[in-house]
Amino acid sequence: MTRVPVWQSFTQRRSAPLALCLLGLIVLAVLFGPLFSPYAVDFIDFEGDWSSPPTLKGAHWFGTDSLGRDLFVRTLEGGRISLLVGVLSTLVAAGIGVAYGAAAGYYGGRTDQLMMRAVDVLYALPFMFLVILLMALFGRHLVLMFVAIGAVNWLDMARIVRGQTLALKQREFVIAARLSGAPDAQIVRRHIVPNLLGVAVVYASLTIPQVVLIESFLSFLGLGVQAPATSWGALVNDGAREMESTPWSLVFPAGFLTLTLLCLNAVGEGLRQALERRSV
Amino acid sequence: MTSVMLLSVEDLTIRFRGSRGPSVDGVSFDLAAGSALGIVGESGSGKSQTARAIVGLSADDAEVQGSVRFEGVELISAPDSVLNHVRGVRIGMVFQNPSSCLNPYLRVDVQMAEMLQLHRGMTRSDALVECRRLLDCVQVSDVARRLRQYPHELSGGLCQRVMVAMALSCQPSLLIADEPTTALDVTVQAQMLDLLAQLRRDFGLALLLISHDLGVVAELCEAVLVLNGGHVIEWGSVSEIMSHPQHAYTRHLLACRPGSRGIKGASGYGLFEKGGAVT
Amino acid sequence: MMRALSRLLIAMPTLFVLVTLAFFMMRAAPGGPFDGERSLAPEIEAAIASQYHLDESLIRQYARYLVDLSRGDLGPSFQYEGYRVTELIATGLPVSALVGGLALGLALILGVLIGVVAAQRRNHLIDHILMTLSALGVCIPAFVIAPLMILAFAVTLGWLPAGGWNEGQWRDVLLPVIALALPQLAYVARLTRTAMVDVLQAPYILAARAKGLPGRWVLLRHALRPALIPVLSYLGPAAAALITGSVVIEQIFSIPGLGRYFVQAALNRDYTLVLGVVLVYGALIVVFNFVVDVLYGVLDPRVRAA
Repeated sequence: MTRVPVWQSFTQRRSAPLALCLLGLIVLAVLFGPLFSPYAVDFIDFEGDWSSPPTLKGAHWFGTDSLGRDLFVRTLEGGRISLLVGVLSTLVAAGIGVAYGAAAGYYGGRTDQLMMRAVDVLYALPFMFLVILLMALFGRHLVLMFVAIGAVNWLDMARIVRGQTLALKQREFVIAARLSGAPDAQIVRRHIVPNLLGVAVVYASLTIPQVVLIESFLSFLGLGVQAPATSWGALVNDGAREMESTPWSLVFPAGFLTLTLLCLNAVGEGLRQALERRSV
Repeated sequence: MTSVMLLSVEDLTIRFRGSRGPSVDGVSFDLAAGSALGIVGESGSGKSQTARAIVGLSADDAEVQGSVRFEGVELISAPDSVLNHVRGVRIGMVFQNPSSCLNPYLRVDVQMAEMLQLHRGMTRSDALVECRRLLDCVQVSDVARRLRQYPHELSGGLCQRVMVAMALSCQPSLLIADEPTTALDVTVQAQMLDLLAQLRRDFGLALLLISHDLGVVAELCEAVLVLNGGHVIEWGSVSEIMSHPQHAYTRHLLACRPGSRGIKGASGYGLFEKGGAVT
Repeated sequence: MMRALSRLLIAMPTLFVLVTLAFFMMRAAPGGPFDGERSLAPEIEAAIASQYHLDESLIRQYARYLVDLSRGDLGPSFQYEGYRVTELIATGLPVSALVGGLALGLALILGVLIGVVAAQRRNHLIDHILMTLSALGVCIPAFVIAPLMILAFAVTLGWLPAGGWNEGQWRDVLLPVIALALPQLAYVARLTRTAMVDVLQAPYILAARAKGLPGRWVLLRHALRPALIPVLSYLGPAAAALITGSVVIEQIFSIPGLGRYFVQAALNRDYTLVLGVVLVYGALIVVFNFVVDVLYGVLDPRVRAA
């Protein structure tokens, strides 16, 4: 078995490194971009025109919306929320998934069967409806959103991690640790989980775009972030309402959202293929 | 002399994109109508690539050079319409793994009849009658039931008989058999070899047999071509090569045959005798 | 067939869990169906509560709902006075089903077609173009593509209406169906291409070509069927995605379907309507999975035998 380093394998595909660079630029822009603009998210520019188109002359680089708010700042601030929710919810999902999958795989037998059957049943539930319901019923807390989205997305991770754990359990170092009388919890923590990290990171990277999509979907429906905070989904919704007068208020957030999703998917896909090639 | 040859391959060279050397390098041989040639070599020696290149079925990333003349027609870079006619009608082909060479999603009768319908212009009902006759020819019993079954319901030996029946269905003049017995049980192997020998006699077929096993080749063929690393090592009559192998590689192949004892000087034989003496 | 039927039986408890979850989740949420109205006199409020049985204990209400449900009655709507939930669903479902069904059909037919073409021309220019487009299509959510399409085809070009529903004329249906179908279409195309490329490497495809069958015949008769199996597996998730997508699409295009009820009803605490819609969605997904199971048997003889 020849082990190609993951990074080398990752960079073999042209699209994935390109996507990673673009993604890095987007993250930098989202984090530091607003600092370069004189406007705040909810600042209403009474002096300039409302609904002014994008221009490089003034400071409204992406124009303003129909309320006179600067779209450059709003788009980037919205990106902060979207990406934050994406990363945090993914962490929630990955945490639950890894713990559940590792436990099922490690204990095996009856416990494993029971736990995985529960996952099967949950798979059959149309979870998006429940998330929509949850958000519509319990209001728009950001924390609730992390938990709701995270709780939906851990199933895939649990399945993958369980499979990996089952394989790891047969490896020599785990058997050796068990023979030496180490307690279960310690074996899982010291030997199983560290070896699962590669797979977990790869699948988490594939979860992020899904989560960003769900967040923007909820925000688009008005069930996500609450004004004055905003996110790409909420901005697309605003933009869609005003697109006849200010099409740029739709195009910029929609473009950023799409580009980010594209990059996230490409990076995740690249990582997955690199990992698969390594384990062959 | 080439004009009377059924098949003449000249300087056939196959290169795969991205690989350094050619995997088949300047292979040439002739095959007369009704005669049988075995191509022998280890896996990776290029024997299967040679067989596939003859009928224009090389992989997408293969570059094929040289000349393949079959019944007076040049096949390398021939258009698909010509190749399809040659493949279906003039050359029959049988592969190594019969169970995976039949489409698992289609019934046996569908797979057999489509050839007859496409190449011989038969109606479906005529084709079904012909299918029965063909399966009889390859000594399949309970034909009516077999025809309605799916490949996964048949044994490997039966699948290979179906493959042979299909290969023969348009009365080809050449049968290319690529390791036709390798994936079969030993007893079934013997039956299959008998069947191939009998079909050769009955139909006057020429046979190009690809095998790693000199014993199988010796049973069916008059001539043998030994390939190693894409090069022709030896080419001659079976009796000549079996009794006086000129090349160390050929002697090595002979020695590797299971149950080979008759070759003088082949390594392994002496040891066996000594071992027997001790017990 | 037996497998499909047993799966259908297992699905019933799933529906039950879904309804139960939705029921108690809704009741645990703050607010009630009649909060928004002017503050009512206590006796009127009590009268309304007793009319809708809101004064009973939660368990009794739940039991009452299940009993009514077993009779096929989903109760009265809280928001639309004088309407039964079944009546509302009967008007909304056909509209949603028309848009969703057309979108599914479009996604499947065009998606498979594109996937097959790309696989056949693997690593050629056309393959790269199609797969780049579909990578883009997978990433662009329906609620982004829909306003952009309205901007292009309705606002700028003026070819099609920006929304509305006149008994489902094709002009009104076209944009929503395309917007709803695009992400699924792109996904199906990628799925088909991958499966097709895999299948084309199979020994039986080489054997079929060695039989002298024309390329198109090999592709359609021998390779297409096995390549469709992953697409079939995706039908269940696709149905769920289409239903979720319809929630936003119906809002964007002002289509009077079920999806528009769903969010509105949840926000207005129209308990019975929300439960009714959740139930219909759940049942649709169950039915879809059943159809998929049956189709597995049709496509794959090895499954049929098992």
